Amino acid sequence: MKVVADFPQPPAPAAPPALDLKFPVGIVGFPEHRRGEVFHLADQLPFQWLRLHGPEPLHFVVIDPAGIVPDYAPELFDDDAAALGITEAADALLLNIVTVRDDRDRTATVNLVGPIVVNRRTGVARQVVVANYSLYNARHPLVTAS
Amino acid sequence: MLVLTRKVNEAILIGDNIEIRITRIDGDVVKIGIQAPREISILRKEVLTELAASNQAAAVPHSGPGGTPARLPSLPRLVAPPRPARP
Repeated sequence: MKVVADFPQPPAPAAPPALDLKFPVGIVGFPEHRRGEVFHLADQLPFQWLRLHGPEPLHFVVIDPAGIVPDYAPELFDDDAAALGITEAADALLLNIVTVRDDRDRTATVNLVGPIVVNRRTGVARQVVVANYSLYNARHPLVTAS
Repeated sequence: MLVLTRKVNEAILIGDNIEIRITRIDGDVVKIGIQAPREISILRKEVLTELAASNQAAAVPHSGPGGTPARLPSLPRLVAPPRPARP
């Protein structure tokens, strides 16, 4: 079953607890956005917000895929892991970008090909193409469990 | 751009440790074998193109100088609760 999003007026964004991120090379298509933070509003979990700072602020809806996308087991290329300083899986925080389409159907998809990988210890982050990208879809429909 | 002509089973070397070999040609489809160190990422270019398009589509418009999103989707209804971890 496809899921449907709903667009109410925005709640006043309070100052939420944020995780500061450094993007040495920006993200794909936005190379000038080098800093950002992840925050969430309690009633929106498991969805979180990624705010990027650059020529203009950018916001993305992101999720930690653990437990949300069954059987998602991305593998990192060695050079990505090295650039991030990640030596073991526990160092890595995964954030997958969600696209919410504001059209008639208002569907949501999640990008499983190019997650943002964060080194939890340093805050260094990078959008990577996972080494096993051929298994995954950049527009994976978010579906209900039932 | 350097353009070389190769036949099936001929190869190209890039630097000390990357070899690209034409393994099969079938009409307009070419099979290419690549040997490279593990730390070199090798991608079909359209994967990155798709990623850039996906990022563009996912960016949420912001309303003004404060940089707050124009609208926050009502997200909790999008997905079912997390499934229990698999054994």
